[in-house]
Amino acid sequence: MEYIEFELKELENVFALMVLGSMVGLPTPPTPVAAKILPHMERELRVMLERSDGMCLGEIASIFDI
Amino acid sequence: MRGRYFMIGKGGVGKTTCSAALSLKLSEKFRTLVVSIDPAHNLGDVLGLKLDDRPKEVLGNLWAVEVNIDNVVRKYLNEMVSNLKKIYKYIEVINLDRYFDVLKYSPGVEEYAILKALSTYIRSDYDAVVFDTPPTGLTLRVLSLPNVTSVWLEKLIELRKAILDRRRTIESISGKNYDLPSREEEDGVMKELLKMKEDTDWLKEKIIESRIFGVVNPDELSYLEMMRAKKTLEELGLKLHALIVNRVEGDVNLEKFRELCDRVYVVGKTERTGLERLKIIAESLP
Repeated sequence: MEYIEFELKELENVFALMVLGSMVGLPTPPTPVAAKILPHMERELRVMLERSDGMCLGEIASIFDI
Repeated sequence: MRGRYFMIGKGGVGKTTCSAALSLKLSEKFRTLVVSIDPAHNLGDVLGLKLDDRPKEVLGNLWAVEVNIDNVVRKYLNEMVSNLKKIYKYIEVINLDRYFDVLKYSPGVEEYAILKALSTYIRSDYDAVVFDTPPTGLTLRVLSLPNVTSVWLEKLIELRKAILDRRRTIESISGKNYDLPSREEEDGVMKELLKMKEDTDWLKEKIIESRIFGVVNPDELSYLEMMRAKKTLEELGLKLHALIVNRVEGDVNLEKFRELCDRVYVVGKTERTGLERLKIIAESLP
């Protein structure tokens, strides 16, 4: 369960990065695509920011019972 | 024939004249609209009329319109901003118009605006619509947009499916209802993605169904450019329907043009002007 939750967050993070990649220098999808789905992406954005904070180390540690 | 037509080619080879002539010919049988989507319009000059972004009747069965790309860009940007305003309330105080000149030249914006104009007129209820396009490079970028968008959407949908799948798994393990959408029909992102995919595929299909005419002059440069354009079209799954060799004078070897395309129409030089000239050209067309 913990593992799946971690995987889910990772996927959400990648999703947000793909849509908003231009903020970190990645190529982005055509602008209208990003603009259309952005209003529905609050959760993904939160996850992305959390990930960029380096918070996931603790999470990994707990998955492996360290 | 009924349908949608594109006139493509290098700048200055006579795309506009050929578009006007072809639409004149089509209008003998069908309700026809000729649309200029070239930001540097001269359809009005060719038809001897002042045109704007409302279709204007030229002859009994023929309408013409010059799409104002600036207006389309403005409308498109405004739409986008009103969408963003829903997320960022404070954006209300920013007057976007002041930044219009910068945004207009952002990558992809002009192409998108042209594509939007295209899809409006492809959807229209005219029996035949002839598009007079900007020079080859820009046109090919516009025509490739639906493909590019489609690839992106496919990947995003795939990833979204994986996300929803994990959420459902967590729901069924924990036995509780997740506070996040886990089904496609309740997920806003997925709904938008699927709708965009449907629209994009529709447009892609319509562009594939349309007939693309290449216009060239009997010189080496426009031949080489058309050869490259043909290759790009093929990469996009599109086909050159016919080739118009415009401004042919005297004895010209057209063999290599026939190798580019099965249907080749030869249009001679003419001293006439206005509608007279278009009628003469139309006689050489299908």
